[in-house]
Amino acid sequence: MSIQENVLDKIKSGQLQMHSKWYFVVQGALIIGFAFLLFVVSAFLVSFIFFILHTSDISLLPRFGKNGIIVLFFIFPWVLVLVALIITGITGYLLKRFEFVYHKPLLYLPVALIFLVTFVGFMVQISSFHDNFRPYSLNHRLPFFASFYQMFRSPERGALSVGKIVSRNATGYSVRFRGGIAGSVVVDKTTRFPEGTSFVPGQMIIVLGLRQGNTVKADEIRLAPTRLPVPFEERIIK
Amino acid sequence: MESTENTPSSHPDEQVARLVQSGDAEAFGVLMKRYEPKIFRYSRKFLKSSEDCQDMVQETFVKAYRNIQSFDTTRKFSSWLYRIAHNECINFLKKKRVESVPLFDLDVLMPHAAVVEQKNELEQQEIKELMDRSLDSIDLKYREPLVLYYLEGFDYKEIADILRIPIATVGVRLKRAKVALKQQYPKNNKLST
Repeated sequence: MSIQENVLDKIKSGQLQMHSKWYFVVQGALIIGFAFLLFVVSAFLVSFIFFILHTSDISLLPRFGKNGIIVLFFIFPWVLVLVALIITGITGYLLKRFEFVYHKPLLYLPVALIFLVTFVGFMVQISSFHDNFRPYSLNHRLPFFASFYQMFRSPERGALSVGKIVSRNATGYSVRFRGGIAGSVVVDKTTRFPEGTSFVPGQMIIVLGLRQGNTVKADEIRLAPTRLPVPFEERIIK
Repeated sequence: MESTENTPSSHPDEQVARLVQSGDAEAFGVLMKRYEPKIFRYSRKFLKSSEDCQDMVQETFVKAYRNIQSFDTTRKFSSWLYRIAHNECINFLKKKRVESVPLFDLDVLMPHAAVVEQKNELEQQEIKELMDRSLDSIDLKYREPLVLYYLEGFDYKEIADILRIPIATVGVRLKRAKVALKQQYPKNNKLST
């Protein structure tokens, strides 16, 4: 029996049936819908990274030079970056089947997707989306989002502290940290003062160093800039 | 005369495919008649045994029938069918592990300047002769565009659609494939690269 006869026999006997047009319509819609959903998730994650950078004191770390940048590297939310990249990669894989994608060099796809995700993520961040959605999801205990916002809080905690000097004491300074918490900054011979040591009560300082409880062992102390990031716990939603 | 014009065998592929889509299973026989020898010839360039080629051809037509509703009749049927055949070939080669199938290729990643081969009767004949003698020794990724361009007569865009690679990459691969062919037969200096 020839191949042709064999295949036609299978068709006639009903062994071989074609998929309906709807099968492909639904399949195509699912692929595009899923790719779009993944794109939205990536943009959400990227916008949240921008939100963290904007609202937490992490953005103050580069003021400490090399040491601050090293700390920034270790506490940066790389997990979010990695997840966003993986999701963007899956989006690209799903889009690879489309002519407008595979006719162009493959390099263009990740570059375009990363650019788009970053741009959309940035726009979402400046739209105050997280300022509104974060308290809403926490108050309404939205599945996934509530725990997501709980999980990724100010990442610089424990590495960078911001506070107002209340007084000098034997070991350094008594300070009032953000959120009104009273604590102390311990200074020793290894503590660096690139801007001098003439801090006076009432001044805001930023301290690089390990914070345990309400005490910070200062590695470096600098004057805080006049405009500090407003932590998301303290942001007022308009 | 009129009756001949109305039989599926006188219609272009796309029109016959439309008949198949509307439920005319016999029309699929017309497409098989037209393409079975071509797909078999194509498979012979990649698979060693005749039995494998027959299996691959049958599987290609089974998949083509099953998925015929996904074929856009405003496009070229042959490119669509060869895409299925290409996938089947790759599946066979992976299953048999007779030849390494690259998972990723830098040629596809980076942009290339467009290289367009000028069709030249004499050169084409020479390449076909060289292909007969040394095609097996050429890498799969270069062999496919060679076969599709010189033996099956597809243009760059159609090859790009079949292999799902950028159009410029087709030109690059063809150019490199010709160099590789030439290296197999260094005595033959007539090829222009």
